[in-house]
Amino acid sequence: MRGLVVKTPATKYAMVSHLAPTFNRAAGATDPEINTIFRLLEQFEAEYGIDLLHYNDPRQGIYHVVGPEQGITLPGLLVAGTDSHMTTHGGVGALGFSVGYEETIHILAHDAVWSYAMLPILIEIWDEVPFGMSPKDLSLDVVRRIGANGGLNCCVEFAGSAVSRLSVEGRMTLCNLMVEAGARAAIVAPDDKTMDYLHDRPSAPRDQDWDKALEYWRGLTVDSDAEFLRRYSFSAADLEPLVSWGTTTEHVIPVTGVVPEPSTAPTDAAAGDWRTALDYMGLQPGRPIEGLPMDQVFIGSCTNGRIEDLRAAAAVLKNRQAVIPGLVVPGSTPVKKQAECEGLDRIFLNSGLQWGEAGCSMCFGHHDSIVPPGQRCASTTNRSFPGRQGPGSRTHLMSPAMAAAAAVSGRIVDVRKIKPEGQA
Amino acid sequence: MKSLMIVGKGVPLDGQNIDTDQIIPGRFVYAPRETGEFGHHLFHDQRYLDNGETISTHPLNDARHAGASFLIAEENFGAGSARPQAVWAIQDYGIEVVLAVSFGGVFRSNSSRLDLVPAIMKREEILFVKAKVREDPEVEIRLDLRNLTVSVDQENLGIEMNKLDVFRLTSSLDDLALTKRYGREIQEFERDYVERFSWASLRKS
Repeated sequence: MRGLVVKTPATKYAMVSHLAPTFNRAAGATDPEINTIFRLLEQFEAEYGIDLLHYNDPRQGIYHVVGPEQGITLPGLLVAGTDSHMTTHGGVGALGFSVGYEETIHILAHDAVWSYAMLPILIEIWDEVPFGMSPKDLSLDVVRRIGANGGLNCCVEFAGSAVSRLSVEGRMTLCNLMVEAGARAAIVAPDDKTMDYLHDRPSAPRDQDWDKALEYWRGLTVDSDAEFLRRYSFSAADLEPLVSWGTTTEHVIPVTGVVPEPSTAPTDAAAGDWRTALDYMGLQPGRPIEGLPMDQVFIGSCTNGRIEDLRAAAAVLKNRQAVIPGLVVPGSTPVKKQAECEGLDRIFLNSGLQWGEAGCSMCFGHHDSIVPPGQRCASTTNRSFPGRQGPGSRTHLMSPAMAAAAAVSGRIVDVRKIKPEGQA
Repeated sequence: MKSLMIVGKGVPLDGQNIDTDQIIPGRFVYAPRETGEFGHHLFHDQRYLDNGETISTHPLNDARHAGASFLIAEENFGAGSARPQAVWAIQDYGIEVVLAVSFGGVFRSNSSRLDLVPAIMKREEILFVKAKVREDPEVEIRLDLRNLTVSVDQENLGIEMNKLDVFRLTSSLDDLALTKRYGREIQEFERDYVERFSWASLRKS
């Protein structure tokens, strides 16, 4: 590391997320390129005393699942990581932001980084997410409303009754997608739910430190005199299940909607992008999105790889058969263990889906799990970018319940039409 | 370290919200920079057919724009993934400056740290520069980092850049050296911080 030393190894972690094998983990990495990276990480741990959560560590998983789960991510902390979905950590009231390699080295050496000040945006969401809808639908809705560059250089602060009513995991899903609106960070003020979620987590403060932390965390709220660059306020009451039709996360419509006509785009530039997106996705304007045949399903990722996500998918899949291939990958090994305790793995396997080992897996089209060219994947991930899940792959973003419904129907369907637990 | 004046040809690129997965697909990012052929893989899936054949209509494959130093893009260029390899790919192709209406946050902060100039221009001016380059691919673009201007075909246009970015690009100091100047302030901050926030020193599980 350029002759530098790591200043405080105790506050640094190395986590194997993207490169963790989805299958046959006992064999380790079979790709020589990945093996080289694993050897470097092992050397790094030995040389600098940084805790490595390797692919076979029982705490292992995607950073944005593991951080809060282990109590490493805490309210009021600045948490930097080498992945854009660091915004997720705002779900527990931490300011998570992503950094490149140069900044990472600087943080390791100095516990500090030069950074642009983020511009604050306030998004208040009122009422309640309707029954059957999920935090994923809410987060897709926010990106659709503010646009793929609506949060550029900003930190999104969330408030309002719909956000308070979300579980802590749901808030992580909400914050996770804000990077798809260009935001550097997103944050929900910690409340009793956050404290309950963090209490007794392995790395969370204990005893007197816990009391001291609570006192501080209770003071973390949206300041009444704060000045925001922009404010948004809307209701979650009319939320419908959302699905992406295009190649950015703002290209989203309700499952009851039709693929949009480029001539209705807000600007000429957007119209051009819509045409390019429709061409890539092989879709005609005016076509209802419901009924569109899918080739496969992926349930997992830092957006939707937590236990509540897996429960929502399992509720739809229970006593049903998938008619297209699909893969379910937990966001961390503890999530995997929990799901297995609850018998969710049996539900997935009995329905004909595969049950993988924790990690990023098929979300980003690398090594052992990719979507073939031209194939459509109903995916609980965060990006439908061209080539994201493999060259020529066509990703349709949706919630875990919607992806499960797509698995049993072989096409996009409105999950509200499917009764729970396999009733006819 | 960049010279204060960069002169060269441009290559125009249409589309808003161009993400770093398109700039360099995930499957190419794990190679070391020296062996990774990052310049070759820049916009790989849009520049090559499955059989490896080059798609001649892509602007980055267009012989008229060969040797360009300026990439001219639109809104939110470099959105998405934080991968610094997106910057490597653009540089290894031969580009020194990206002109855009806006940039993805991490892409921009990676750029200035890796010596790629991220310069912001108004949309009309980006369209003007693109039109000029399409009209005459040999047209000379000049970026002046001291006065923060871009000139093309006798038009002088303003650019917007963060002061720290300009400093980083034009000074011999990197961030590490710059931080050393603030060693005492950092130490003082830490003394107070550790006392007040004892709970924030993580427990190892």
